[in-house]
Amino acid sequence: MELVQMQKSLQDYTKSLFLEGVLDSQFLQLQQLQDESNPDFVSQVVTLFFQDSDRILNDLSLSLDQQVVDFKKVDPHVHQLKGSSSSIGAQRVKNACVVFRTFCEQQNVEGCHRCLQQVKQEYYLVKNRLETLFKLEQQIVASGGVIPAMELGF
Amino acid sequence: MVKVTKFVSSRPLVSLILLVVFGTIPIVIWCIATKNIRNNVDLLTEDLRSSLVSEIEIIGKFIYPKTNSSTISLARVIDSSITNNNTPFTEIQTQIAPVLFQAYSTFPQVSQVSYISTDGLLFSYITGLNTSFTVFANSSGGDYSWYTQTIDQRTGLLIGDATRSQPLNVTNTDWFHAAERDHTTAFVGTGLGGDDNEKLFQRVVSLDSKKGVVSLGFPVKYLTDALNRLDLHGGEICMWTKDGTVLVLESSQNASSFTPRDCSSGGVKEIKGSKFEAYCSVLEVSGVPLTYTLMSPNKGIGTSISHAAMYMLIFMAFYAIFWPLGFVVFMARAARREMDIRSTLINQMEATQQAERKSMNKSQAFAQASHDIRGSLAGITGLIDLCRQEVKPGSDVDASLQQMNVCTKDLVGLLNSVLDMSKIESGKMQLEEEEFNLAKLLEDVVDFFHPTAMKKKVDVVLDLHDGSILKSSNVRGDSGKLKQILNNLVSNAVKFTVEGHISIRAWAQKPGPKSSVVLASEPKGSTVSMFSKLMLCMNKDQSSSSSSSTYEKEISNSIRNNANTMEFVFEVDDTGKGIPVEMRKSVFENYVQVRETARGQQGTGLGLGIVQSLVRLMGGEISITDKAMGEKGTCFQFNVLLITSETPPVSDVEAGGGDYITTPNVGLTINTSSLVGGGGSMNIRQHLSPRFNNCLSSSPKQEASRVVLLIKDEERRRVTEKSIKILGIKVTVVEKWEHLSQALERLFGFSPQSSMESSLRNELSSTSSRELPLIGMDGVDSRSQIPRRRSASFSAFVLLMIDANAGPFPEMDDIVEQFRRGLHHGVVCKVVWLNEPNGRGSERGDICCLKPLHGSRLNRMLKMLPELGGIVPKQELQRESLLRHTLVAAAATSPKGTTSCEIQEESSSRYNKKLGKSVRTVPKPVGNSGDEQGMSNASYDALLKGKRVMVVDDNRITSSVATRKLKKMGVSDVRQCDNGKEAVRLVSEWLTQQGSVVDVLPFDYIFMDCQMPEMDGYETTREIRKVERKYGVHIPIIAVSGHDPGSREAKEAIQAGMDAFLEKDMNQNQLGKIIREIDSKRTVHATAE
Repeated sequence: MELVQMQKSLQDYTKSLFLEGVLDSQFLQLQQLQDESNPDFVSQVVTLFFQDSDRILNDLSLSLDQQVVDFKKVDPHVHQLKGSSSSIGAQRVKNACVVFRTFCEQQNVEGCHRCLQQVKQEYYLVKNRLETLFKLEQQIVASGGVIPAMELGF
Repeated sequence: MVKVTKFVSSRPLVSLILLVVFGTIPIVIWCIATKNIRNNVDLLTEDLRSSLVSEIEIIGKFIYPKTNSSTISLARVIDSSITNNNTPFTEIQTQIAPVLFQAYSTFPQVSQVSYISTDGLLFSYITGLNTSFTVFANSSGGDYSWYTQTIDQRTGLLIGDATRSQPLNVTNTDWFHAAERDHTTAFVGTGLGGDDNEKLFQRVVSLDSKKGVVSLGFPVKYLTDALNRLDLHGGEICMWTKDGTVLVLESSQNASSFTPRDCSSGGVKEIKGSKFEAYCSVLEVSGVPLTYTLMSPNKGIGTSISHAAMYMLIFMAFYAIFWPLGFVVFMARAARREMDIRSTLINQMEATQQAERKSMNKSQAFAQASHDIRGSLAGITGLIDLCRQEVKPGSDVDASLQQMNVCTKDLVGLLNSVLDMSKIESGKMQLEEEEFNLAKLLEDVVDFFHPTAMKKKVDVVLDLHDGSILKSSNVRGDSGKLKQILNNLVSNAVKFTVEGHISIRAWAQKPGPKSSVVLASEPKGSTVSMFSKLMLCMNKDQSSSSSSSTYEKEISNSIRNNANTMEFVFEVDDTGKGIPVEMRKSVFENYVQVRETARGQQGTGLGLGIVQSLVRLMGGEISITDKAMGEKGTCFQFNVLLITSETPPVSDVEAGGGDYITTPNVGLTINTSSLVGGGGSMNIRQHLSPRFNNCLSSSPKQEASRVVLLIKDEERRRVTEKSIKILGIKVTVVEKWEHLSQALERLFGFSPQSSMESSLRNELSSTSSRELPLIGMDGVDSRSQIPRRRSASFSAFVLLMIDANAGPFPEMDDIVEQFRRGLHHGVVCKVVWLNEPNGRGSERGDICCLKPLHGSRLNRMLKMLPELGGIVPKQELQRESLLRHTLVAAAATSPKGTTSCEIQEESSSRYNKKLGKSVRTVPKPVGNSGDEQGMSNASYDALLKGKRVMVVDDNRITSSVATRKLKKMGVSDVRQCDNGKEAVRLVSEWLTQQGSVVDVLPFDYIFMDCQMPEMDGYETTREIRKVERKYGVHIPIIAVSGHDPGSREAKEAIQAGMDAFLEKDMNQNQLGKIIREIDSKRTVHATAE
C-alpha cells in the first residue's frame, strides 16, 4: 500500500472515531504526550486500559449476577472504569459509566444489568476501533512512515 | 409595684391581717378622740346649762326679795291702826288708806296694795297704765259694790269720780281663806281691778286681829323681762305656776307639748327625741313656787358629733377596705389582660415558628425533590445520548432523540431556576469565590446569544464603555452566578426584542456611598432593631426576609471592606416592547410575568426574581432605568461588587519604557505615552514650552494607523468606533457601502512618496521617537491640518473592517481590491471581513472574523496595528501587493513574544499546515487566552523542572497519564502509588530516614486522587499531615478529582488538609496557577520563619 494512502486512511479513520464520539480530545492529549522519549506511550496506556477494563467488566458481571447485589462493591468498579475510560478519552464508555453510576446509586439491579451490557458494548467497540487504529499505525511505521498528528478541536 | 400587688393578691390571709392591723389602730384612735370630744361637749353643755339655771335662780331670788316681810310688816301696821272690831268703810278710808298709800309708794315695784276686811270691805291702790287708781268696795247699805277712782300720785287722795265696777267676791276666794287660815299666803293671779287685769305675784297676809287681810301685788312682767334678757344659747325656757298658768314661754314650741307636771324636781329629761334636753326645776319667786323647764339643744350636738364620727369611721373603713380591694381588682384585671396578651404573643410566636419551619421544610423538600428530579433527568440525558449513538445519524429517531435532549435540557434549566429559587429562599445560596476574567465572561455571554439574536436580525452589542472593565478585568467572585444573571437578562432581552439591537454595557467604578443606598432600601427592620423586635410576631415573613437580607448585607459588607473591591455596573438595554412603568417593581417578584408582553412566551416568571436575589447576594442592586422619551425597550441596570485581583507585573514592562498601560488579560499593550484621550494629548502639547513644541512638531511624526469601519448596524458601529478610539486609534466610519470607495479615496488618495522616504530617514536618526496619535481628529478634515508626513518606523497602516453583509460582497470586494492596488509603497493595508459563521470568505486571503466584533476579537484585530504591537514583517513591506498575512504570524511576532514553545499552539498550527488549510477562521488559542497560556506555559518548565512528584491514584491508567503529563512538563521524577496506605508509608519512611532534621522533602508535590478504595484521598492526606507534623514539614498535596473546583468535594479536600484542588484532566493552566499559588504561600512561610 502506498504510504501516503495509508496515512490518509489513518487520518480519516481517526477522524471518524472522533466524529462517532468513540474518542474525545483526551485521546489527542494522550497522543501529544507521546514523543521520542516515550514512543509507545499511547499504546502502553491503552493496553493497560484494556487489561484493567477486562478485569473490571468481569468483576462487574460476577457481582451483578449475585443473588443479592452488593452495590457498595459495584460502584467502585464503575467508578474506576469511568476514571480510566475518561483518562484515555473513551467518551462513550465514560458516558455509559455515568448512567451506570446513577443506577447504582438508585440500587436499580435491572438498570445496572442493562447498563453493564451497554458498557460492555461500548468497551468492545472502542477496543476494536483502537486495535484497528494501532494496527494501521504499526503498518505505517513498518513501512517507514511517520504517524501524522491529529488535529485539535472539533 | 406589680410584685407587691401580686404578693398581696396571692395571699388573702396576709391581706386580711394587714387590713385588721392597719385598720384597727386608726379606728381606736378615732373612737377615743370622738369620745373625748363628746365628753368635752357634754361638759360644756352641762356648764352652760348650770350657769343658765343659776342665773335663772338668781333672777327668781332677787327680783322680789322681801315681799313676804314687807307684807307682814304692813299687816302689822294696819292691824295696829284698827282699833275697834267692826270698822266701817269710813274708818278704812281714813285710817287704813294712808298706810296703804304709804306702802304703795315706798315698796319698789309694787303695783297693787290692798286691804280686804272679812266683811268684804276693800281698799286697794293699783298701778294702771300711766296712772294709779284705787279700787274700793263700799258695803254700807245692803248693796255691795266696787268703785274705781283715780288718785293723786303724790298724796294718794282720791280725785275724780268714782266709777262703779263689777265687784268680786273676794272674801270667798281660796287665797283669802288660806290667808285667814295660814296667816300668810302667796299666789299668782290677776289684780283686783283695772282694765288690764295684769298677772301679779300677790302676797296676802291676814291681820292678827282677823279683821281682814293685806295683800301686795307685784307684776310678773318684771320677771318675764329679766328672764327674756337671758342668753339661752339656742335653748328655750318655759315657766308656769302650780295651777298650770304659763308665765313665760320663750319657745317656738307649743307649751302644751310639755308635761310640766312630772317635773317637780330638778332633773334632766330627754324630750322630743334627741333634739332638746329639758331641765325642770322649781323656782320660788316671792313665795310663789314656779316650775320652769329649760330646754337646750345641746344634747343633739354630742350625738350628732358621735354620729358624724361614726359615719366618718364607716366611710373610712369602707374606703380603707374598698380602695385596696379596688386596687387589687384593678391590678388583677391588668395582670389578667397582660397574661392574655402574653399568651396571645406566645401563640403567635409559635405560629410564626411553625410557619417558618413549614416554609423551611417546604423549601428543603422542594430543593430535595428538585435535586432528585435533576438526578433522574441526568439519567435520561445520558440514556438519550446512548440511544443517539445507537441510531443512524439523520434518521427520524435521531431527530426525535435530539428533540428529547433539547426538552430535557429545558427541563433541567427550569429545574435549576426553581432549585435556585428554593436555595435562595432557604438561605443556602452562597457565593463561590474564584478568579475569572470579567471581560471574557461578558464576551462569552454576548457570543452565546449572538447567533440566536441574529436569527431574529437583532444585533447584540457589547459596549465596554470607557474600557474600565479591561483595566480591572481579573476579578474574584462568583463567575457562574454573574453569568447566570447576565444570561437571564440577555436572554430576556433577546426574547422580547423583535427588531433593533441589544446592547450590553459595562463599566467599573470605585464603590462609592452611592451603592450603599441600595442597602438602605432594604427592609427597615434590620436598622431599627427595636422596632423590628416589636413587630416580630406581627410580620413573620418580613423577619425572615430581613434575616436573609442581613445575610446578604454581611456578604456585601465583607466585600465592601476589601480595599480592592470595585463596583461593576452592567446595563442590558434592548429595543423590545419594554415594561410598563407600573409593572417595574413587581417584575422582580417571583412568579410575576408581564402578561401583555409575555404572551406567546413561556417561562416560570422566576428569572428576574432569581436575578435580583443573586445581584443582592453579590452586594448590588438591580433596577430598570428610565429611557429617554421616544426610545423603545427596557434597560436593566445592576451593579455588583467584586474583588479585583492584583495583576502581577507582566514580563514585558521594559526598563525605561514610556507609560505602559498593560491589560494583560486582553493581551493589549498600548505603547503610546498619551493615552489619556484626545484632549489629553493636545493639552500636553499646549503646556510644553514653545521651543520644545517646535522641536516636537519638527521631529518626524509617526503617522497614525487608521481603521476604516464599515458596519451596517448603527449601534454596533458607534460602539466599535468608540472602543477603538479609546485605544487611541483613528477611526473613519463609513455608514454605507456605497460611500466606501469615496471615503477611501479621500483618505488615502494621496501620499507623496518622497516625503515618506525622508521621514523614514529622519526617524532612523531620531532617538526619541514619540508617537503622538491624534485622537479624536478623525475624518477627512483632520488630514489637511496635520503635516503630510508619513511615519517612518512603521508605514502607515490601514485596517479595513468591513461587514460582509453591509452590501453586495463582490462589489465591496472589488472596491477594496482597487483601493489596495492604488496604495503606495509603505502603506500597509489589511482587510478584515466581518462574517457570519457560515458566510462567504474572501479568496484573497483577507482576514475573516466571525461576526460579533467585540472584546477579544476586536482586540485581536487591532493588535495588527503597529501602535498596539503588531509589527509588519519586513518582507511584507517589500511585497506590499501581497498582503497575505496570517494572524498566527502576527501573534507569533508580537513583541510580547511567545518565545517559549506552546505545545498546543504549535501543534495545531502544524496540523493546519499539514492539512493544507489556510487559516481562515481565527484559531481559538490565539489572542488573550493564548497569550496567557503561552506565558504560563513558559513558566511551567521553570516551575516543575527537576521536581519530584508522587502521584497517588488507584487507577493505573489515570496514574500513568498523569505521570506522563507531569514528565512532559519537566518533572524529573514521578513516583506512582496506587493506594493511600502506600503513599503514607512512603512519606513516613522517607521522613524517618532523614532523621530529625529534614532538609529535603520526599516529594515536592503529591497529586492525590480523592476517591480510592481502602483509604481515600482525604484520609491519606490526614495521615500524611499527621506524620509530617512530627518533622515540621509540609508537603504540598494537590487533590485530583473529577468534580468541579467549586463543589463540595473540593471543599472537603481543602478541609482534609490538601493545598489545592485540580480537575482530573489536569489542565496545564490550572496546574500552573495552583503551583504558583502554593509556591508563593511557601515563600511567605519561609520569610515569615
